[in-house]
Amino acid sequence: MDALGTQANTDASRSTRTSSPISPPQAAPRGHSVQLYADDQYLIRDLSRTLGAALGAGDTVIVIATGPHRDSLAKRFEERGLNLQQAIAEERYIALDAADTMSKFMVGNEPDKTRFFNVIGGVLQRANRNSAGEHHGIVAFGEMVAVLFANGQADAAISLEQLWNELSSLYEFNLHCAYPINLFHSSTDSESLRRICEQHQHVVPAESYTSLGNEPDRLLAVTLLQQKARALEHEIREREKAQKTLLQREAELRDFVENAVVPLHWVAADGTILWANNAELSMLGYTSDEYIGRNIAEFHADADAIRDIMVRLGRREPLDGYKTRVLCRDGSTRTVRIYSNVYCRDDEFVHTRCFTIDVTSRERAERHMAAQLALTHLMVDADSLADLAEDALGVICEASGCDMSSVWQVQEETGELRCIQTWHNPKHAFPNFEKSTLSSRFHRGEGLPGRVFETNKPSCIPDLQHDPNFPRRTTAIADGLHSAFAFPISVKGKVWGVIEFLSRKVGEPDQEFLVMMAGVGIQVGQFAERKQLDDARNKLAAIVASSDDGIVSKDLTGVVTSWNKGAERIFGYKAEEMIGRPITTIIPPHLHSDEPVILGKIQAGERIDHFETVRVAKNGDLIDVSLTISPVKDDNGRIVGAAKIARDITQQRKLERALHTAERLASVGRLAATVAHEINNPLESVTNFVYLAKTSPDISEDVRRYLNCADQELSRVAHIARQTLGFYRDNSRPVQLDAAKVINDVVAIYQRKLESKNLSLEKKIEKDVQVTALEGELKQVLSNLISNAIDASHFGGKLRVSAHSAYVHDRLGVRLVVADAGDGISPENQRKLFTPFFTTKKEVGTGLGLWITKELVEKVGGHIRLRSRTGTPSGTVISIFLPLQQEPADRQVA
Amino acid sequence: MGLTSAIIFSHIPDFCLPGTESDIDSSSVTSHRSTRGLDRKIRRILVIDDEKLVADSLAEILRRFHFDAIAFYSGEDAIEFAREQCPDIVLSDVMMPQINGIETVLKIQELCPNTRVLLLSGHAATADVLRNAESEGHRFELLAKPIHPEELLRRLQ
Repeated sequence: MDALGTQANTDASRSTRTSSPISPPQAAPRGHSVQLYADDQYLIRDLSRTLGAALGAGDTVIVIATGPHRDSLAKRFEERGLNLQQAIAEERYIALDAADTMSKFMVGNEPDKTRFFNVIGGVLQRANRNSAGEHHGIVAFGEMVAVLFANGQADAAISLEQLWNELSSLYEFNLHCAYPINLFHSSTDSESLRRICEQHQHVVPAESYTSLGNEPDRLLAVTLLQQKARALEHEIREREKAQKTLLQREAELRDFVENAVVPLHWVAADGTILWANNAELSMLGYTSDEYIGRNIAEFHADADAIRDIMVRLGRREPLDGYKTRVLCRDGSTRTVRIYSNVYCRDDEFVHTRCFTIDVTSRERAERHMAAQLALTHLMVDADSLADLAEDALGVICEASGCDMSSVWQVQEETGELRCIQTWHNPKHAFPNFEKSTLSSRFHRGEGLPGRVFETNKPSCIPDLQHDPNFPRRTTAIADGLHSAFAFPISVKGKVWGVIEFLSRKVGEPDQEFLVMMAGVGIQVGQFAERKQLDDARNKLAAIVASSDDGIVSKDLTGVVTSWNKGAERIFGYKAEEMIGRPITTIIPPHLHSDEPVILGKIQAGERIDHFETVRVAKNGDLIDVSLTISPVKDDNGRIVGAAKIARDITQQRKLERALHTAERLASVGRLAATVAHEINNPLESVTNFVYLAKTSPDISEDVRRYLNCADQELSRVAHIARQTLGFYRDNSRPVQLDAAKVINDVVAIYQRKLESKNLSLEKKIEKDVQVTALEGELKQVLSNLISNAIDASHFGGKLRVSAHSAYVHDRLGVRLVVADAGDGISPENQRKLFTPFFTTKKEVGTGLGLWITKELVEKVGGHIRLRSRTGTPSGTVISIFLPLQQEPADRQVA
Repeated sequence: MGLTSAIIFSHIPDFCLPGTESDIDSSSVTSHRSTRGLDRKIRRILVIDDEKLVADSLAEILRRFHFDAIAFYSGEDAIEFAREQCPDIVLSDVMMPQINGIETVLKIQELCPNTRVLLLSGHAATADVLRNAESEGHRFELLAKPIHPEELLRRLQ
């Protein structure tokens, strides 16, 4: 219902607007006045009073008002006892409907002046006729302007007010307008109100003011109103500001959600999409019309998943990264994670707050990365390319979503590709295709593997159905395989093999995957290359480890960095003992000065070949070695150390020395043999002649004495000649002799000498010890040793002779020992003791005894040892080992 | 064996073999001298040595001890002699030009199976020559040069 429920009651007054803004309430203002009111009842009461007064005074009253206002006014007149019917009959009360009347002059939204003049002019003429001639006027009450204003046609209302004013120049009448004050509730209405008021000569404020009875009350009311107006103005400004801020925030929030990069949407409890932002639409490729208003389930690839999502949200259960797949407009799917909860009002599901994160690339990247990582691990662990392929295929298939794969290797002999390994998804089997794959051989360019072999580039077949160059096509399709791709494994740019993948789906693998596979091909190639290098290195390492030669490396400061088994054997040091220690550990002190020279040569890049020198083993033994030393270079060609090959030539040296000695002995022997005959014959003659002379009866005693001396001296010459120039060679073979008997025989010979020096002899002879020897030689050996021992002993000293069986180097034999407690032999003399013509007994010794002894002992494969010490106690022990079984001649040399 | 060892030791002046040196000095030689008039048959001994002085001096000594000693300077001459008349004993040097001592004594033994044979050598290589002969089954007594006359006499007894 319109706010204008009032019947106008115009106080017909022709006067212009009074100077006083305040009119008395009882009398209608004259001229064109406007009244504002808050309460319809008040307006009707006021109008009934003023208009009733006018009627009572005989004026004509025109009321152009809304139906309810007209009815209320009429009812009020009757209550006041006015005979309205008579006034109507006399045409002094003309009541018109505001809307009806307006319809007669409005053209569009504006009042038409001509029509207005005609329509309203007509009414005024009618009224004027009845009041003409008498001193009665016309009072009009109009509500058409208020109706227009209420309809939002403020300008039209003001135009209509202006027409009324123009009309007042043609007709004399008082016009009273009324507007409900609540039409001007907005601050923006102030201007309209001012313009409306300007069209009137009188403005009557609303009843809150007019109802006040006296001037001071009214002034107070005005003051309070002014204050209230200020306060309101201030509040309005504040509110306007707040409103503006609020609007800005709203716009920002709207922008935030609409243009955020994260896809967002609202879904109602029934799954209807209520709203979605640009990111969501662009992710899926739909327009907002195609998406909003539809059910969310239509856009999910997995029906069970979306059903589950809605059930969970229905339970007000938030979703925190729920992984599912959504369908795009182009038919592709995207893997997403959904984060969502529900906005409720009064516990009622209003809509979801759903964030959708597209993880397709990330998932793929993660899958690829996982595959890469797995491959890397496999490469670290795999022993061979075949091993690697076996495990790698599964990993790559899983990452790529392929169902079957195979590894093909180029066969060196035939130049063909042959499948060496297959793999298939455990959920599916492709028996016929697998069989066909394993039995296939492809030349360059033939089939998919052959094409990759030829081009050394990845290749794919999106649909096997349409590829003529895929010989296994029929079995592949029969087994349900539809697409394939393959990439090469290259070693140094040469194709080593091909890895082929097949999928049950038609289509190409994504680009990223192909790029990744190209990388894998290179990696696998590098792996193969590395394995080849490893193999070579292992072989070298095995050679180094198993070498009899010592192979050692050291850095440029001479610190050992590697030490092989050969070096351990030769020098006695373990690798862990030597690594980190200076190489001078094995260099004898007097040769330490060699090391800087060696290192200098190495640093200059020179190699040292077959440098024969001496090193010290852990046990102190000196070892003859032949060294070959080469510089070790790093990858940049910088010399970083030295590699040394040490060959133990101790044995070789021993052999050489033995050979040398043997040669020397042989030449001495040959010389002796030659000279012997020449000397022994004259010696024999001279001996005989001296004998003849001394046994001749005719010589004097003096001559006989001289000849006896000569005879003795000749015996001594004979003895020397015998020892020097080929001692007697026993013509028989060695026989087993009883050691005790032989020793006793020899000791008996020296009995006189022992007694003369008052020497005690201790004999310790094992019972029944047998010795294999030539008796003469053995006796000679023993007599040499016992004779030496007697000579070395001090008067009253002790001698010891022993014989017992012994094992030496697994050979059974006899050890004969002759010991004295003499002064001992100095170390330098010990070394010369077994050389010919060396003697410490200048007067009596020939310097041949021990030399001969040694030769005799070694001739039968035995050996002789000497231990002697000077100082206190002193003495010498010589021990001889004679094997029971004689060794072949070649052993005698050593 | 025992003999050969004794030979060696007999020539070492320091050695005093009981019952050898002193016997020769005091009794053996003396007894030879004292047996000069023994009615035993005088034994013929052929002394063979290409060294004329050796052969002559030995023969002279042996004759002094009543051997019928004849010196030869070659194996051939001795063999020629033996063909005519077998000696009791042959004492021959080993290393000789033309036919050596071993061949000589073997030939003589062939002619005179009862003749005693002694070899005398001053040469180390003799052992090898002997070993060859022994490998064919022959056994010889070998004396080393220089041999003292008394030792030789003792061996001949």
